[in-house]
Amino acid sequence: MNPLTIKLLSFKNITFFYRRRHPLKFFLIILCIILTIIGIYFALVEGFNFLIHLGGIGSVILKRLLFIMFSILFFMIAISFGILFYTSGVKSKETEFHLLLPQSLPRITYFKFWEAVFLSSWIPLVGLIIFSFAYTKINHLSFTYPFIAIFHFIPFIIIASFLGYITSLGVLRFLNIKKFFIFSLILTLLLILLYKKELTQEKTVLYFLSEKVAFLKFSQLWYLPYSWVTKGLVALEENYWGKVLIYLSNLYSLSALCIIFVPLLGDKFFLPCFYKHFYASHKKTYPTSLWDNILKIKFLPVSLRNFLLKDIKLFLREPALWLQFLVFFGLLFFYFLNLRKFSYHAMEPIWKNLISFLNTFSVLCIVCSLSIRFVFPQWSLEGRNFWILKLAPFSLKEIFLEKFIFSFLPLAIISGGLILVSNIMLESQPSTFYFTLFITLITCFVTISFSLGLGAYFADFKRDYYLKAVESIGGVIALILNLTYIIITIFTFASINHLFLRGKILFLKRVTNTFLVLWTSLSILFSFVILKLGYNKLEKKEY
Amino acid sequence: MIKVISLSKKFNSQWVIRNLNLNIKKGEFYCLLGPNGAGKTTTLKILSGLIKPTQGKVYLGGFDVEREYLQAKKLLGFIPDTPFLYENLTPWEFLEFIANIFGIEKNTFQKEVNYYLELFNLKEVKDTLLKEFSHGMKQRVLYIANFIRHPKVLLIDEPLVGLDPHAIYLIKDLLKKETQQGTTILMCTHILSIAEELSHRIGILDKGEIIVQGTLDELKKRMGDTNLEEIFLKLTETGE
Repeated sequence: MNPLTIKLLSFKNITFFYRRRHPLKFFLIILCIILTIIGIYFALVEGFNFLIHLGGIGSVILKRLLFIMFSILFFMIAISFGILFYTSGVKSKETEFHLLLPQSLPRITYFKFWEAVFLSSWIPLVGLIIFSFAYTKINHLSFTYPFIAIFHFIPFIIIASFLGYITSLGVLRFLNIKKFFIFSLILTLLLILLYKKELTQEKTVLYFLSEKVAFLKFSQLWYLPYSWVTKGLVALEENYWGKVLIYLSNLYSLSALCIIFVPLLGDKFFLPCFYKHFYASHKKTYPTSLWDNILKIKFLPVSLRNFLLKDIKLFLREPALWLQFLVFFGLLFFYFLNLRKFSYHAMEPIWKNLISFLNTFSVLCIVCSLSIRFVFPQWSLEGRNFWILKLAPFSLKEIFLEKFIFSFLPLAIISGGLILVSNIMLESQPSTFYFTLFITLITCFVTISFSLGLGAYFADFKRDYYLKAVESIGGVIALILNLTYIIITIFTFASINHLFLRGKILFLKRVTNTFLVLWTSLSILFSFVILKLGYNKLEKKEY
Repeated sequence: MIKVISLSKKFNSQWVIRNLNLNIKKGEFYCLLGPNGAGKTTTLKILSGLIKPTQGKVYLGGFDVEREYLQAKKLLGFIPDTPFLYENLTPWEFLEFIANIFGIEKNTFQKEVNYYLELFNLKEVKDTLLKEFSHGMKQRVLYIANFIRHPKVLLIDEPLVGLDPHAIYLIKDLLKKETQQGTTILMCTHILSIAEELSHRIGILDKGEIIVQGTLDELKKRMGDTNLEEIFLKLTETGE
């Protein structure tokens, strides 16, 4: 029995255990998963339908979107792998346990690599499989298309994970906080130079998603592995089997090379990383920080002030948390790099509407991922120390309020800032800006309530490492709920505008305002319901 | 069986172990005592290969823990104070995993596990998930995981945390039998009575250094005190 079999056995056990203990909940979760898969499938089919019905340009856009999607997904999987490898490999008690057993280090790292590959890629893989089925239906392709597509996805995931593997090993082994900031500064300067170079290029009016869009160019470079997947899939769609085989061979040979290098690199670099981060970090000293002094200002009740200070310190002292934060902003740089090229003012109203809502959707997706990554594990972060909070002379309501403020303020500032910057770049109307800002702030409120409420409901104080809470069933439910809410929000308001532009609605302002009031009331109601649900569960929880 | 030569460990700029030397023979029960933060757990982790020493060498059964770690770990059993167990496995599955890793034959495994599960009163819950277990029950599973393989060297950190009197009695008895069969045991504890009862030799660690070691009689003779508690308090009073 090897460690991977153990993990599968654990999964089987927990499924049977849950089914036996809570049959109704188990059934509801399965139903929820099936409905989500069906929902995503039909949402994708509808989305593709919309693009195809735009005429010739639609199918061109669709193919370009494939390139962008796979390149973004490549980096997202790499980042996700890095974080999971850190939490489940380097900061894990299980690794310490394996190091005690007579197993070679390459074997341990090999197992930890595959574990992180699975944890970081199962959600994207399921999404890609649904995507390939929807794509097959809309383009009337052969039934073999999605199955051959899956053969493209597997090496793609391995290569992306390997990038995450070498990056995380490098960062963990060689960088400390000081070096990290110097490194980030150099990287930012390089990116600014790149940005400046782009600006000095020919100033023509660039068409939506044209070849000049920097990220699209980047996503199509022939020598980068993520473009091989799209090129292979396009060749498959056009029945160029020779090309399909070439791209598949490229993908599989590179992924095989990656697999060979995993234990070799692990043997050399894993142990120093483990020593540095699993043991030595506990011995650091932390002098009084700036936050201690800032929060001495008595603008908050003492309970809130103390809990806020604790949460800020916990956040700042956990590299896995603030590193993710920095990575999110790195990805945003690419987003804004492309946004300025849309020449929004030169577009037809129907495109303006689409771009404006797509932009809001992108910002809301960032809000969603930030809230799942940082707000959801807030309760599990307390870990085995939750009894301290429970015994503190403050009510649980006050702690809930502190966690809400701690999460809402930064997220509202970030998302409001993103909406402001993106609207300036798109040169949109003030009314559009205020409207999207309002939607964003309410969504912030709702996603934080969902994440905090469900985080409390599914809080697991016995977890080996609290960040794994994000990958738990509760985390998945919170993610699905948040995404569904965002999709419904965008779909509702974008449809109203679209129908107005098509002449099917006469009074845009009246209809929009009515829906806005209804949507806001329902959003706040649902938020309180979920918060209450989490609160009740936490209050009854025994230790 | 356990040989430690000039072992030192530094975390950042702070020395937690300084020039530690130990030589524990086959079948000997050595007890390491010390106040909180003395470096007991760090010493055990270095001996088990979990932490690298800053200076010095550790040999288990003649194998260098750093260079020949696979051979050294085949001899080693380790019981930490807060055990790691796969919470979503049953005790049987967990023990089977351990047996496979150490190459214990199926028949021997079944015989041994059944015997110990019965002994530790866990037979009825052998198919329950470990997440359902109390700390003491998990600790018992961990002892079984070590006893079924009869390691040549057993390192124990705080051996009796969370255990009921029956389990404590049983474990003390089993540890005595293990030493009689040739297992070398190094145990860190705060419970002085256990050290007095079980150990052949005692070492007192303070601020990363062994300040005194020997048999209980030798310590009493040297310090002129009647019991271990007085000796311990006298030697470590400035540290606490």
